[in-house]
Amino acid sequence: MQFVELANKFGSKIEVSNGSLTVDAKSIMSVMRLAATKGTVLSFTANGHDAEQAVRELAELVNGGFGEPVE
Amino acid sequence: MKIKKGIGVSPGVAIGPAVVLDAEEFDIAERHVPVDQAQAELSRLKKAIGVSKREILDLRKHTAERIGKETAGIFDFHLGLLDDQVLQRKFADTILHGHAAAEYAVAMVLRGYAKEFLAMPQYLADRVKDVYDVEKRVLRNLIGQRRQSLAHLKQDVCVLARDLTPSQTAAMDREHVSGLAIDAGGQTSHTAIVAKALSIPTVVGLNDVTAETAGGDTVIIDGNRGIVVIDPDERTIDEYRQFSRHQVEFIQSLGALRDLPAITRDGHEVTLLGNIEFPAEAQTVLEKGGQGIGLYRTEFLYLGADSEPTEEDQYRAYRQVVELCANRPVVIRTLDLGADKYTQSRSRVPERNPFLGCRSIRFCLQNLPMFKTQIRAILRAGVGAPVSMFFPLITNLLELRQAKAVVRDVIEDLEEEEIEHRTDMPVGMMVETPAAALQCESFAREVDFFSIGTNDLAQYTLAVDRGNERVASLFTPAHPGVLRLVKDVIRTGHRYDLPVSLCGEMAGDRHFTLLLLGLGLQIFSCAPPAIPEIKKIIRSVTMEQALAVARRVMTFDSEHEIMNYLRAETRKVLPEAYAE
Repeated sequence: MQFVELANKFGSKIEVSNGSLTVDAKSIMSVMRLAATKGTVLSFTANGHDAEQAVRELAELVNGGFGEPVE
Repeated sequence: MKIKKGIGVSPGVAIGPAVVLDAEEFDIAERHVPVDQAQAELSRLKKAIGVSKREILDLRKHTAERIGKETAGIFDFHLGLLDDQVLQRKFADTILHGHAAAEYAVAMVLRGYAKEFLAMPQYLADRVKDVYDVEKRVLRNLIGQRRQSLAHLKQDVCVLARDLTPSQTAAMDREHVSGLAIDAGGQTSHTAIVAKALSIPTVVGLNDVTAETAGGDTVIIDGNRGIVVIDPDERTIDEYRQFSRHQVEFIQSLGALRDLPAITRDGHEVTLLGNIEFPAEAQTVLEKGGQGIGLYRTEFLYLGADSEPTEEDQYRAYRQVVELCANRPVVIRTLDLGADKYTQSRSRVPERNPFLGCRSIRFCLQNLPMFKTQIRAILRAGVGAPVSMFFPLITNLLELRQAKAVVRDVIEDLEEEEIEHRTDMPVGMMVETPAAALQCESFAREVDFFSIGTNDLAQYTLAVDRGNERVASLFTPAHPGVLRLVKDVIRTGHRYDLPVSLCGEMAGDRHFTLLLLGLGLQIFSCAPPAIPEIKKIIRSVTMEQALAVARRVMTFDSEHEIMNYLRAETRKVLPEAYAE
């Protein structure tokens, strides 16, 4: 939830991948499809004016082990 | 012409064009719409999503106030799901390019996700429940939009549906809905009870009548024989027209009994009361010749509203009935919510087995502020009138004592606040579980009266879900086991000098009148339309006859023998009701 909420704050198009599956980071249903658990390696791609900041903040959130386990 | 057999639950015959309602919840049929309607279908869905979001926001607010922010956070996921752009695009695609009906699009897309999530690690799989919850809500709002149109019909129609909730049945336009045919359900499903109260000919348990009928087809709904005829030929229609005329005449002939007492030919008088859900029905009970209200179901105040009714709402509804009945008895049953009603649709995690779950008095004792509000309204409404109250689904003494303690607490509160109320209101209980029936002697010492609820008593004794059409045929209060319990409760009541009433469907079924009289039942409480017929039977027999019937019935060892015997005996007493 937190992850998708944060992604939606940015204007850039953001994608997140788990292995070969790449989805829209702003869609909660899509992000759930990644089935990411603790320890999963995710990669981000962002495209737009705030792309760099988006990737940085999202990575911080994930690495910080935020409460919600979904992402 | 095609004939479908179901269970007739509300008598009478209806002939007219069919309106087929969409399925609800988990059984959405694949349905497509013409290309030029796709856009309209999409805006219908958007509207339903909007309504769903508002509902969830309300629910989140309520939950945060009552339980806490943490729990309310669950609804963030529901909201996030409905806001999800990818999901929105999928819905739009399925409707605009796949020409799917909105309901089908929602079900297909969300179930696709649910299936995928189920295969994932546990904590993700758990989200499937939320996905289903959202699906249900959106579908309810979609279908609700259509169902509301049942309140504004232009012509007389026969309504065919997979299932209806009691509140949907109650909200229907009585002027124009001439008959109901339902795929699901059994004899005592709540839809059946409401349909009977509204005198709408109804057949349930038809399995697939909605699949076999198209909107606009002529159908005959025969609530007497439990038959639906799709596309009848001229001759059949003529036969039925004649049959309905005959029925109308019979019912009119009973009108003459209205002001006469329910007394046997040899002078044994019983009390004949009516069961109601809506205040206005009290009038019907009196018009039909009932002597008061033996069961006032209070759930409908809750089912019809979006939020909990206030003390004043309840007080006004109860007081209206009390005043309409002008010094005749009114017996109010405290909230019987749960199982198939209300609590499930509002609970985030539905109970696995709601009929054995947190329903009725259990639900009330776990929601004391709500329960107290109702008791206050009842005690206030009963001032200066013969009003009493009783608790549903009591299974043990502790529950009864707790409920009675709540009444005492409320009396103290009202006294302190100096609000006018009753302090001496008789308090009774439903005997509707085998536990209560078997232990009725202990209960007899602590209540002022018993009311036997044979619908639940039969359901719990026979282990049959009366709403499940696959087993509904096993449901019958004529089972010797059920009858033995009924007999014991009536006897115990006599021994302790307690009034015993019977308020299940059995009381309004003419086949059981002789038997119940013979078992010593003093108070019959039935659906208003059944009152004249039951009175007619009582007035046509002697106590001696009834005692003989009861003795004979108790010697049979199967419900089939019992029903055959009772049918034959009733037919002797009231041949007019059987003429075809």
